[in-house]
Amino acid sequence: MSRVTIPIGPQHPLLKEPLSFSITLEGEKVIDSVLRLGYVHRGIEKLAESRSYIQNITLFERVCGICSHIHTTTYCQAVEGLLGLNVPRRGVYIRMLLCELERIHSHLLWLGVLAKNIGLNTVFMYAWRDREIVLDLMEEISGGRVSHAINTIGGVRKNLTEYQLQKLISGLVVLSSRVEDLLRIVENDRSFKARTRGIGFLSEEDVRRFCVVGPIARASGGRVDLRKDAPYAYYEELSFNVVTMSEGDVWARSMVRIQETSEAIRLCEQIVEKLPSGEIDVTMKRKVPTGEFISRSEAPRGEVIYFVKSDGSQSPARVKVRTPTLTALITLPQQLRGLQMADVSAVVAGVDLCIACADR
Amino acid sequence: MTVKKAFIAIQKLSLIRSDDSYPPLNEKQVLLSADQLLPAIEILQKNNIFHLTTITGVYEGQQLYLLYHFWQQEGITLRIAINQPANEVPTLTHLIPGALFYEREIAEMFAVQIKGLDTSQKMFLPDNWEGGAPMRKESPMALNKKSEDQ
Repeated sequence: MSRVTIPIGPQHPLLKEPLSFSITLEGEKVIDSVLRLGYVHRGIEKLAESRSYIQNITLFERVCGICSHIHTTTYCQAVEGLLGLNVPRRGVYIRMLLCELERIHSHLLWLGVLAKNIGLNTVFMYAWRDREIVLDLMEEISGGRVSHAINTIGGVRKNLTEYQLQKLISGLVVLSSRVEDLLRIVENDRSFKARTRGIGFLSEEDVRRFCVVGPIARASGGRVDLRKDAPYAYYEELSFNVVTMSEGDVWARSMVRIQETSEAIRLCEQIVEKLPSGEIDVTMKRKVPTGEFISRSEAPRGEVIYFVKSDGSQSPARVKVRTPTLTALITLPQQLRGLQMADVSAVVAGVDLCIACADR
Repeated sequence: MTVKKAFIAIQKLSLIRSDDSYPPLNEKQVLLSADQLLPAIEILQKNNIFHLTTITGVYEGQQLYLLYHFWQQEGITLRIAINQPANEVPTLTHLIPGALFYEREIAEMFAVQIKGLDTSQKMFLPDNWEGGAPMRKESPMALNKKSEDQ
């Protein structure tokens, strides 16, 4: 049978972000696919070298349009490590709260995108309706729905009031029951399962070979979560489960992400309950001593790493950002091979790509 | 424990030259030359360390280093000194397929030759890019730091 190559993207029917892949088909069967990145490459790592440490917070908030807070958190952790700053407990707790709210936001957004790509528009509407709740909560806390601008080196910039906490608690109750509903849909709905089971398979061995992280690794049985493996902030004080599945397909990834959303809501409740009193930040010393620091954290999509090198001047000598999407992208050609053309949209949505993160 | 064992084994490979100086890192690291990279990876894999987090290119003075960050419950970094004019490292993709995009990024941004990997197609930069390797020290893209920083 003759082969046909179809270019998909960079302007995409599947994703809101630009990614190009050309898919080689034999009939309806995918034989091969080739990726091309770089359509939103902004040279952020290079830009960071000409801005001061404080200015860079604003810059790194814009690496990603969904998980902006985890990027500034990881960056601030690295600079605080170089400075040897002890961030007050309340400040770190507020950071963790936003990290978890962001995880809820990211996973609900992703469920909507997947549902839309596989033709379940009702689920898409439900998921994004519920996402509004968490966006409103984040706006209440930080003033921003997506970019929060709350982190600073040495702590956070805004304190939480009693009124905000009450709103948060009541919002989380509603969210909790909504996520239960979504879990029932993902777990039991026949159409959802028909479109997601058995496609985009990755084995535990694949996950290890391709260095995959986050929910994709956990859906293939890999028990990796930096909040447990290398507790940063105060995650060791909170109790939560690392959700894993063994199926390794798109459905397992959906199950992992939805259950993680429930865990994130539980974490938020614990954070509100245990929120310490006191200061929220300490003053940053102007001079960052010479040295190098690696900061790792668990973003909604998996491990984020920031490498910061200081040469003693006012701006960093080098900042390296590695985001989880870059690891997930390498596996796409393998996941797509042998599938029907109609399943491509489900697999591409299933890995939860963030191209802005991967390009930087 | 596995990281500690691997760290000691890799240190035996390492020949620290006296003229190499680099600032301290908050995770374990070993300085190696490019031809010691593959033996070091084999030691890591024997000790069940498979997760390559990323590869960072970094300058210390005029010397370019590639940092291979590995992770297995704790971090270990292989610091590879890139010798000029050879300017190359072997590819890891046959041992760690996940290294593919990191290596292509290094090849594009730092113009380091990755021996055994086809890097003729661009991955991040535009196809008609003529600015050289943007992250290299001598690149025309190199931004001058403000004088007050010095």
